[in-house]
Amino acid sequence: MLAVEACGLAKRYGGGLGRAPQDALRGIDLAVPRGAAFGLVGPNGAGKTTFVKALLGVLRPSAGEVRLLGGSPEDPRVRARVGYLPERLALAPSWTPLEILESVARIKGLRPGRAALLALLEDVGVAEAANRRTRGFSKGMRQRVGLAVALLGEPELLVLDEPTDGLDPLGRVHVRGLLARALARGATVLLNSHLLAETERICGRIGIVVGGRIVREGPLEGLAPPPASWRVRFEPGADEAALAAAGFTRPGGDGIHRFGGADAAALNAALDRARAAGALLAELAPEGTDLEAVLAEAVRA
Amino acid sequence: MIPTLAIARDLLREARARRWTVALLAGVTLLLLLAAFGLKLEVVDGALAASRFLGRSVHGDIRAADVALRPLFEAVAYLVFYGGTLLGVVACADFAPALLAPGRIEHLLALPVRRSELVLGTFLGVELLVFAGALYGGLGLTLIVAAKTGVVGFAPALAALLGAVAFSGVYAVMVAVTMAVRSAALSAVAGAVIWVLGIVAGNRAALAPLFEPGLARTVFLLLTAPLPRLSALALHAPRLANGLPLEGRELAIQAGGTALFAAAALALALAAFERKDF
Amino acid sequence: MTPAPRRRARRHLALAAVLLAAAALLMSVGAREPTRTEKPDVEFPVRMRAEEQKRMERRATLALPAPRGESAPAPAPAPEPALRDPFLVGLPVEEGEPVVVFEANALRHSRLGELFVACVLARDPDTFAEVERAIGVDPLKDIDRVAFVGGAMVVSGFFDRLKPSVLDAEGRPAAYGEAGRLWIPDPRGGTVPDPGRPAIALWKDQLLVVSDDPDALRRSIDQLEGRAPVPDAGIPDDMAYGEVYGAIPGEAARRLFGRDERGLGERLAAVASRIELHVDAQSDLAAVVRVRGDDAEGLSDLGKSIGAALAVARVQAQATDDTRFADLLESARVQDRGGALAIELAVPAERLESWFRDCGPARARR
Repeated sequence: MLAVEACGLAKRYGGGLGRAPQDALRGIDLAVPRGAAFGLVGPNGAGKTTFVKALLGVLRPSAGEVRLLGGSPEDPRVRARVGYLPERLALAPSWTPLEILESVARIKGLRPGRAALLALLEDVGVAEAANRRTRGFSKGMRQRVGLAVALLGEPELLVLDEPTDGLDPLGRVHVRGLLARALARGATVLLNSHLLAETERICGRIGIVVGGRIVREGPLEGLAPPPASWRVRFEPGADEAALAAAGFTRPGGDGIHRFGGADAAALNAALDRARAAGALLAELAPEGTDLEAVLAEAVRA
Repeated sequence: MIPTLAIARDLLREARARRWTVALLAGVTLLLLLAAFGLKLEVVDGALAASRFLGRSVHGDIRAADVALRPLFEAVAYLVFYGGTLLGVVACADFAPALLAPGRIEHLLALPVRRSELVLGTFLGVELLVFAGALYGGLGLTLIVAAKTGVVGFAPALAALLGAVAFSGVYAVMVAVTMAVRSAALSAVAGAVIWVLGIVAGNRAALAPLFEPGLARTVFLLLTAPLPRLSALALHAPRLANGLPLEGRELAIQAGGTALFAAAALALALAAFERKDF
Repeated sequence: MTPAPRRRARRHLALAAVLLAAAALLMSVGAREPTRTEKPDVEFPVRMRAEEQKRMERRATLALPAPRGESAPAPAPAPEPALRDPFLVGLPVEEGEPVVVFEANALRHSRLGELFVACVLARDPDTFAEVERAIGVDPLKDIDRVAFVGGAMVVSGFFDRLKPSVLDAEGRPAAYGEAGRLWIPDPRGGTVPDPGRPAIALWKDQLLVVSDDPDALRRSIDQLEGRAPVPDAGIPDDMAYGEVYGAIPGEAARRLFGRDERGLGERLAAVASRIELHVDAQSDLAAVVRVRGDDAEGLSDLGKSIGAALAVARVQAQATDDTRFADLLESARVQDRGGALAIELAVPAERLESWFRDCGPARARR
């Protein structure tokens, strides 16, 4: 069963008064299985937020079809099972977080007790401000309240547009924990974030959006090309000749060695020879296989 | 229906925290306190023998209290009707634009509430707000006068109700304009224009002869035909204040026509809202 | 835009057009005259109207010479005497006696009069014809004014067709003064008055005076012919406005009140020197009672009491479904003008018509 299905989704803006129309989405097909964590990445203006809004019916697509959790996003019963955190979130300044959650709960037809709402606010880290008006909240605090709203009622599908925007590093860790818990209970997460590291850590499947299209899509490991080389750092004092004989080159004077090739068995054999010569391994990382590289390559393509 | 009521309730809660609302409430309360403590009414065996306001004698005739108080109830009825609707235009102009605020509308549209329910809930919330405000002022004065004289006049309460009916026509246009252009100022201007046109429409039979017979007069009559007859609707409460029976048929026609006009404007608002992207 | 929202938007537009048309149809086709918010203003008789002024001037036909006394020296060159209304001159008013005048002819042609006559004729079409047959005087056409002065009644009109048998039943006529005739009943057929029957005087076939007291009749004719002064307690010409008007001395006012309002009557008698009454019935029925006195504070207190009494009476009338009395008291008010009180009561013309709804041509039509 699919959580999100988009077929030929397109959005065209403008076209009047002598101006050329702009295609923000150019026929996107996407299928996100239930229980998956799917990340959308792409350069600014690629159409990621437009796509998310089109999925939810916030903006009207010019063409194509969308199904969420097996139903139409126009159906309020479907939207009742979706939690959404928009890219720009405006909270009513005169309301408290508790009042905001109570309001959303009422609209969603939920009847959580005050304790449950406070627990949710505790989860997102704003429990101490539960009864303070949001007027004086920082961006991070507002973002946390927005997250609480999205998580209210344990929705089956979470659509989060830049969920860690405004949060400090510890806050981001906290959010990753919340999303992990949601995934553990079977929810589907659709994440739109410009923080590639964040997306890599949370999502198992990635969609790269460029120019209104999804140009690459699939599991992260599948998207990344095999590593061209390995970056290796040994503890100071290693025998350079022995390292060179083992196959480790040293292009620059920065203390970093490189081992060419994608073969893991050859790498391990080379490391055995280096250790036999007395070298101590300090750091090992593949080169040219992270999401940033994938994205850069997709944009260039 | 429930999401509509939830939206309306949220609007009322939001209104409670707004400075405009607090200021208006304070203003009306001040006027009521002025009436409560500044108005002295001497009633002897059901006759209003003397009346003073802030120490100054208001009138010297001695007559049956309920008859003597008719001009007061009539004046209050007009004040509640026209003052209530106009203040509503000014104080409530930004509720609908606030609904469409970036960051808020996306969040609302993703909730299990239809676009029509958002519009209707906002409309209902503002209607209730204006009605409650008008009723507070009108009924407040009624109770003060009743406590002082034993005379109960329902004209101010009727004026509040009719004012809410009249305001429905005005505010529906304000909402429709907001759906086309998100601007509190434009919404207020549209409301003020309809308010004035509603007064003109209520007097169209008397004003038509000012136009040359033929095209000009026909155009005037056609353009004012669907508009709510605000000034005509305003007359029913003063009629009750002066001891005349209500003209049920006329009242039903004017109120019904206003309601139809409001429904038409809301349908336009919904049509615009359905096509809108956020 | 995908089909569903586009369809919905079009539906809403169509609905808007239909609703707007329905609003226009309902409010334009169904509308009638603008709603009236106030009851029509009633005009109270507070001063002489232009037509009453002309009426007063028309009636001023009597040139009164100065009264002649036996010992009074003849005044030398006296100015031309002002013309007076003979009816008002001939009122045999005595000090302390009330006088009330009914403009019968004006009342007959007023709204109230029309309704009343129509009602009477509807019940018995021959009512007034029978009176004319009996006495030779058409009560609807030949009678102009009727005044009640103490115990006397003075009627002005056209009595040239008055049947002699009506008067001769009271005895043989005796000439009095220049143009007067007296009928003083005498059981023995003479001129000795019979206390049980009224005496009648007729002056110039235009003034009829009826009284138990023959001296009142003689006084009336003497006043008309200049042999006696016109009493000050009467009604001056410029007070003759309205369809009913009169002057009641304060002392006499106590007799107007019943047992329940005796206290009010006593207070009225104590502070009022003179009470003037004017009733206008041309269209609305409106009455003004002016109470004059020297005790301003007493009058003010009395005004409050009267205002309260009127309010209580109205409530009682409403409670007992006495709609006519309630209508009369609805616009009642008391104005305190320092040395005088003005009590106003009125019934608008449309309410008057509702009084006679079950009588007259309206009932016949139903």
